[in-house]
Amino acid sequence: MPDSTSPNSQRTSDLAQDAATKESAEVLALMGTSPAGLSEAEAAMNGPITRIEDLVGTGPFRVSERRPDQYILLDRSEHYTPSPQPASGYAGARTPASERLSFIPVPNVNTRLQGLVSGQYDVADGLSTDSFAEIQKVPSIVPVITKPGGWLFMVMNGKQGLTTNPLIRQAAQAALDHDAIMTAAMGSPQFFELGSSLYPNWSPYGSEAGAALYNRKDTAAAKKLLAQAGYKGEPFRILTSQQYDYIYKAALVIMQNLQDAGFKVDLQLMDWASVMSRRFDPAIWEGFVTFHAFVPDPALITILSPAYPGWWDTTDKRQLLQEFSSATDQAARARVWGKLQDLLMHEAPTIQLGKYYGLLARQKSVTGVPDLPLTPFWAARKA
Amino acid sequence: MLVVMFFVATVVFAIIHVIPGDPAAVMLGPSATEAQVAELRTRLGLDAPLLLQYVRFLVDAAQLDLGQSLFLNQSVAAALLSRTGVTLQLTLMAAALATCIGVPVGVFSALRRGSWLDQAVTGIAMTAASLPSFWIGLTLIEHLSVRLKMFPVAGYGAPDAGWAAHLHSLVLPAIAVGLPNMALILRLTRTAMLDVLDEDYVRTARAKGLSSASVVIKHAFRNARTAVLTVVGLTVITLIGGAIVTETVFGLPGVGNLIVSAVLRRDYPVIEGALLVISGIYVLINLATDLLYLVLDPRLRD
Repeated sequence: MPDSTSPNSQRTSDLAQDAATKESAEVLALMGTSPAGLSEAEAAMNGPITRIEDLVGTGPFRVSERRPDQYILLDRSEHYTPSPQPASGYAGARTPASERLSFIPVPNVNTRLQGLVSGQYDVADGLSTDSFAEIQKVPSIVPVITKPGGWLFMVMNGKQGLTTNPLIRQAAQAALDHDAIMTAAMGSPQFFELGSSLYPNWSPYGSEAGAALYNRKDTAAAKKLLAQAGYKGEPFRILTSQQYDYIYKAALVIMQNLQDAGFKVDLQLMDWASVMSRRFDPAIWEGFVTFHAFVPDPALITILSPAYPGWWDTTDKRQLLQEFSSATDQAARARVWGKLQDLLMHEAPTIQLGKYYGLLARQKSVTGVPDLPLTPFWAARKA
Repeated sequence: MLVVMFFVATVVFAIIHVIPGDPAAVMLGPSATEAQVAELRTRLGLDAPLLLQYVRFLVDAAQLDLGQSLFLNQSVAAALLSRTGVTLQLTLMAAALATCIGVPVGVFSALRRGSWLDQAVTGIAMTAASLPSFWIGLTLIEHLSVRLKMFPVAGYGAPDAGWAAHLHSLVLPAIAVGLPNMALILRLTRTAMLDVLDEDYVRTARAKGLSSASVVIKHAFRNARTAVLTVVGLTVITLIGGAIVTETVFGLPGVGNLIVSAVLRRDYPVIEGALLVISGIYVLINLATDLLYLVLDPRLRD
């Protein structure tokens, strides 16, 4: 089964890498998350929703062959002309450095790593952060920490039941020890970052609004809030899955934190498909832990949508979201975002547990693999 | 056979639709809203009444149409066919390994009953039968692939690999899955031989002055082989269903991997079609085994 032990492997559990079989101009690399240009191509050619017969494509590589669960071959596109701007991350020139890239699914994360260590593969994506120490001991491979990865959230049910009471949600928020949660989930402080601001301080949306409510680890305050809420011991049902190891470990610590505060917690373990399905029924859960890939603009954070399970839809929120959506300049958007984030912290419909990073590794001879999330491989080559 | 397959089809259909989980929700991921999932369910025809879906499935299956995978952009039949080769090769290699080692060693162990060799063999067989195949696989990878680089770590060979490379990539998986089965075959062969070696006709054969080889092969093993055949048949049946753990550890694109992926993402047509096909194969192998009994043991023809 696809075992996902790192956040980025939720999309890479079926992907790994392959070794170059031809000359050094070809690098057979891993596609972790879909690299830019490929996801659209693949979705178009092979997606279940839309099918396009002849894919033209305008990226540096074209999909030349795809065998489900076996490999995806990308060949350099003859008709592609890179931008004249200098390359800078995702922007600027995307100059293909290899003739062919091939991506091979390897469901078992340990096998992916061993394949890299043995030299069979050039790049391994979606590695467990627990294997970082082991990777550092191998002289021929180089670890790459990709950041930002995304956010880990605990979403609470705002539509029905116990957590419709804001005091209950605030009690849960007060009780959580984010250091412990993220350490359990990611294994090492190198792979996560705490902080109330959803966005880094270099982003226009970086804001310390609501910081006082973040990572309080205050069991006493939580108990007081529970008493104020008139909590009578109703079960706090958390949906989780061992299919994503980091989510499960986070949920275990959350359960302990909440129990210490006086909550009666019912941790319900199931496969991920069941979590995805059951979260749409507001009658059967109070919380679930999930990930959200980093997005550059808050408008793209789906958890903020009133239709997203959690159903955060208060008057203040609607008003601020409307202001945010209609703001015409960046400074105004950033100001309103600060207010939204503050509201998020005070109403606590969803708790941002922390920001996670991903781990991939490459052979020392491979260059052009940046430490960016959704790792692009157009510049990857083998020396 | 049809009754069995109808029963399997009905039970599988019922179970996969009773358990929570939705292919549309899996497809769209955790960021999807309920409305988006509902829209996709409609597009995929998943919102039709269950009875209608069930009847459609049965009617299509009767016409050998197993439907279209919700995720793979190919028919279920094509998905199975593309993976059957890998699983069949792995099955044959593992079964050959298990049988070619298990049977002769089992016979040898029975002949040396009570000796230190017999006890050593029995102990090793018990240990091998107890080892989980994923542990065997990971150990083989560690030592033979990573350290000695004798075999690939995973996969079924490079995209342009030939048959030799494909078979090379199956050696370690075949050992991982064949070893526990070898132990089982060895122990059953030993037991079957022990039952037969005490029979009067074996004593008579020895008294007549026949060679040991002749007594063991022509008289003893000939009567024990039906029991051995049963366990070999069961081994093949188990492996045909896909050595799921081994395929996952070694990243093999086989039937087992296909079924596990289909279950995890709720690819209903693949789950239904694959289990239907596998149950049909089980029935056929059982039938073949029963027919082989008739060939090997003339007494059963009466």
